[in-house]
Amino acid sequence: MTIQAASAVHVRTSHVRVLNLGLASLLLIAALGSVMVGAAPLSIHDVWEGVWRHSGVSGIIFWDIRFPRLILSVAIGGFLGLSGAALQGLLQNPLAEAAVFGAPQTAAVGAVAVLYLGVSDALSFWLPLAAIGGALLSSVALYGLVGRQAGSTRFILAGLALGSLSGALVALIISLSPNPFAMTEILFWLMGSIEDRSMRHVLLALPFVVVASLVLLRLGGGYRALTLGDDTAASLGVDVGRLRLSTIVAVSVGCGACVAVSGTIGFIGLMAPHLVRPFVANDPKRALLSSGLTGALMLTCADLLVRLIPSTSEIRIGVVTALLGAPFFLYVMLSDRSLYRSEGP
Amino acid sequence: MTHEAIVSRPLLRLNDVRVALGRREIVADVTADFRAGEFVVILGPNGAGKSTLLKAIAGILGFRGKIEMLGRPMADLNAAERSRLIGYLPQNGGIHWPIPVHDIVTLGRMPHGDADAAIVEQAMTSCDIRHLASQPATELSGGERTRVLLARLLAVRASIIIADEPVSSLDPAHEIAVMRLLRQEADRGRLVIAVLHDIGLAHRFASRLLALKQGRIVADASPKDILQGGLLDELFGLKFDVASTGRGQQSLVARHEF
Repeated sequence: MTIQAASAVHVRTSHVRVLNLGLASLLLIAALGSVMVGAAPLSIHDVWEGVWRHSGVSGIIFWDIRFPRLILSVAIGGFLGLSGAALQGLLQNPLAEAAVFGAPQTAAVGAVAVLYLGVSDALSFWLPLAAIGGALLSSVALYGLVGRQAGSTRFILAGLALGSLSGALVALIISLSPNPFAMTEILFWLMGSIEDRSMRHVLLALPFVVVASLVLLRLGGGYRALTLGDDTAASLGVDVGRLRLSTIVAVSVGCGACVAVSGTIGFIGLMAPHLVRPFVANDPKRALLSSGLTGALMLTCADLLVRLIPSTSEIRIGVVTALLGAPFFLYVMLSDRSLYRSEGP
Repeated sequence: MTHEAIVSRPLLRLNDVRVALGRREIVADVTADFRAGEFVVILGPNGAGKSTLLKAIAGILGFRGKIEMLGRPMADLNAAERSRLIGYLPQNGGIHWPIPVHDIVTLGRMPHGDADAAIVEQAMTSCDIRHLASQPATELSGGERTRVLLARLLAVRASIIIADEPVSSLDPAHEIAVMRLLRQEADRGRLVIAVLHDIGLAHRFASRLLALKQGRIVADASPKDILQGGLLDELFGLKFDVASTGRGQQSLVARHEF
């Protein structure tokens, strides 16, 4: 290898490390802001005191309100970013995200059905379980519909069909809702929020999100090989059918857990990989961790923003991510045309 | 086992190989032995089953019958072993992300679980793409992209090289360079199997030609012998003339009339 080529590779690897360290540092700062900012602001001293004391005002605010919210924003944002990068790598398509497979929509059907039946208050664990069940059902249905050897196009089409069906079911449940309160509750839940979540929500979602994230992080080599298409990846020893199955199940489980506690939060899965791609030389494997960190940072910052914007009731975080995300996504798309000039067969 | 026995043992053996896509049988009853050092070119009209046969050999498509590599049935090889033994270049191979050329070539080391810099560099030099190392692979011309994909194939250092139309988008100079390169790989003891549509190039560089029609082998001969008996005329439905280049080489010219 020439010295230039070798050093280029080395520089790129170290760039990615610096990027991830930088993102982790920013996330730490945002996390600190997240536990300090709110209706009752806490100083750094209060936070420090709250961490070590479970009683007292600062302890209660930290452990019962801010900390679960912080963990959820990091876990959900991180998983949305990571799953977006994984699906874009799997489908070799910069527009892919979890919604392409219908996972959040089917999770929403499960959750909305529980809200409709009005049992979510009495038995609050039903809602997350129904959402995870819905997302799992979507991955089973997807695989049942298209089979193991099917190509990406069939998956996308089947996913879109499942997503549309789920959207219709949600609309049906809303239109059949017995009273305006149930309808309002459903609509607000669909907008996405991590307000008033407890450690019980964290414990319910986190194991699924962590396991699904670890699975996706291990599949990076396969996504990198898929850059050259299914056939070349298979000739390089990648079991493409298994890679698809693992990705879809991991995304469905993780996404179901996220939707279960936060409702639907859009655009992070699409945006985070786009933001990091120029810094990781467009490598689908290197994009995974960086996209996860970026997603976590984005949602934590969005959660900070909803607390800082003055309003009578807190603005829904899903609304903020979509409001900021859509124009920003268009800007990124229009300013980097090279990404949309892939040379497929 | 003696040296002669190892050398004479087929590297690749196909026995009654059949491949069906849906209900349609694309490859039927293909039986052939291939040895290390051979440069085999598969010829045939469109739809003859050439690419399908290559995919079956590369382990990408399921098949009936028997494919053996170094005496071991393909079913006994796991994906990693197979990917180290066979390098495959698909027809019209695409590159879906603007990844630097160097990283694309390094993908060839994936079956070995390393990123051997010397091998990657050598593959890039062989394909004349060193100057493109840091270029995004999606911003290359068709010919440059083909050479990048070929370098990725060479970086595998597989015993069996399978290339589906490796010169389809190249200019004449690079066509000849790539054919020489494949010939060189065969001379180094590898088995090279390529599908080509350019009969002149096949005739000039291959050590053995295999003619496929409607999924069956209709001729298996040396380039010299395949000119005899009007076999190519029958294969493609065209009249071919043998022209002398004046340097002791022969070239094939297709007539316009059928």
